[in-house]
Amino acid sequence: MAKLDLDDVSLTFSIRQQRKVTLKEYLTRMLFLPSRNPKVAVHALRDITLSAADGDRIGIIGHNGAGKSTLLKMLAGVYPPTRGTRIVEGRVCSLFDISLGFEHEANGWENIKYRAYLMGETPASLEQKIHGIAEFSELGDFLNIPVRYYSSGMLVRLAFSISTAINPEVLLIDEVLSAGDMAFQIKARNRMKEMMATARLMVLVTHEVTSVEEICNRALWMQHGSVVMDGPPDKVVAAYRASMCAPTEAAHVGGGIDGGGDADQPTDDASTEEMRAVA
Amino acid sequence: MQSIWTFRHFWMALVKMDLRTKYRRSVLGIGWSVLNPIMMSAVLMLGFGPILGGGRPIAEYGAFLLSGLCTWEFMRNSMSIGCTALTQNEAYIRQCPLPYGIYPLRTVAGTGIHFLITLVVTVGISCALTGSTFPLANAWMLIPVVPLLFAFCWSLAAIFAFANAYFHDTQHLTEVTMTLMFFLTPVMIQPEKQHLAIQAMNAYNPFNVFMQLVRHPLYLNSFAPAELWLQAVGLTAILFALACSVVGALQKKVIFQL
Repeated sequence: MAKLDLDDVSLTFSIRQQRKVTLKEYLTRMLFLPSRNPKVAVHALRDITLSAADGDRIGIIGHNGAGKSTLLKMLAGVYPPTRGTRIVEGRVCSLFDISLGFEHEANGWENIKYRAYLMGETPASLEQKIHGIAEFSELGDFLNIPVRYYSSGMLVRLAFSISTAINPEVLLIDEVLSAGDMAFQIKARNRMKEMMATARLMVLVTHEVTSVEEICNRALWMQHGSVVMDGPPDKVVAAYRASMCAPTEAAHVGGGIDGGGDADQPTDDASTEEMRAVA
Repeated sequence: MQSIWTFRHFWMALVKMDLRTKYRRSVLGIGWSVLNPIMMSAVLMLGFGPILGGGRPIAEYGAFLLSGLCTWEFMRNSMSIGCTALTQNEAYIRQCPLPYGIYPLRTVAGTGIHFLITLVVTVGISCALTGSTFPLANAWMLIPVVPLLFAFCWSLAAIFAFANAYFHDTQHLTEVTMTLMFFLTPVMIQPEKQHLAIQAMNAYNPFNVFMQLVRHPLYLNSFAPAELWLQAVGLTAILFALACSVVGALQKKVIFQL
């Protein structure tokens, strides 16, 4: 059984405006002088409570910087919540930044192995799938050459073919429906539909609101790191569309920044429960 | 530990790739792992043997150098390359929440394989240099040393990987410190030739402890004394516990530093 449970979850990044911390900065800190490059707290997610179980197909919509992708990464376990409780049960497959994490000196076949093992496959289980992955990618003999010679479209083809070859229980997707050229996009959409049909629980982040209406049975509208509306896709999408016609603060990007404030620290094991079934 | 084992295929595949990539387009390939310590020792033996050999035959000094250099290089590389274990694997970290201990393991497994190759070469050349077969006959004594040294190096790599994520100058500081330690540790200088103050420090130098564990069977023709073993086991246990604590305490927070 697949399950997602977020209870009053917040995620706050503590960042500096300039990434580099200079020697002067270290010295002034020692002299208790105010920093010229202070830390700022970016509230990426605020007080999110969400429950989902088998059969849920959730679409997340919202403006750029609303916290959609961050929420997905938190569900995947990449970011720990800085406050609240997260429970994720079931074998998770995350499809975001799919062209990230290639070993550029290795060839296509080797990268298939690395990424499949990263997703919890074993040599035995991969053996049955590897030719299907190669066939779906349509890269043919290019799989024998290092991926640093691939075009970005070829990389996306390969990444998509690998990432969608496993059968997850919890499927987390972030804007990967536009992978590759037109012909591959049609294949990719069909593959996505197959995955969505077989996955027990799916969360999709997209700007294509029509996809949410077609595929999902529940939608979340996010704004400034918070969930503004949670309900049937047609109603949420209609409200979201209406908000775009009326320019309000909803159109502003980002989840909110506090200058100079201390960010929340990630919760410790006692208060943050993470359950992730590994295949 | 269980999750590290679960994802063994992943990190083992990366270690294999690292080994191939290191000598990409090289004619000699992994042969450089064999040739490197030999050439390095030959240069140091001929250059410094007459001065630092302590009056012993130059070939004997070569055996001393080889056993020290192969152990030293493993420890030094594990620390300095280990510093970048998290930053270099950021793409994986941002994709999939694997146990963070995997990334220093990738580094140490790679340097460890080079160490094992070098160790085999060292045994062979030590036989030739000393004109005796005792290094080969004593090679079995290294069997318990290797996993202990591996655990020690993983612990160092894990601690320094997290330190470098929080304080990015760690790698540079480590490299400078290890250069200093190279001269403080009896890698190329015979212990009796060292300054008295440095000789006194050797007992507390963790790198020296492991170096002695390797040198006893390969150079001194003896099994390392019990107190040296006790020191090495204690040191590794403390460091391993510290590394596990660091990984456990910071693995949920370190993503915010990358």
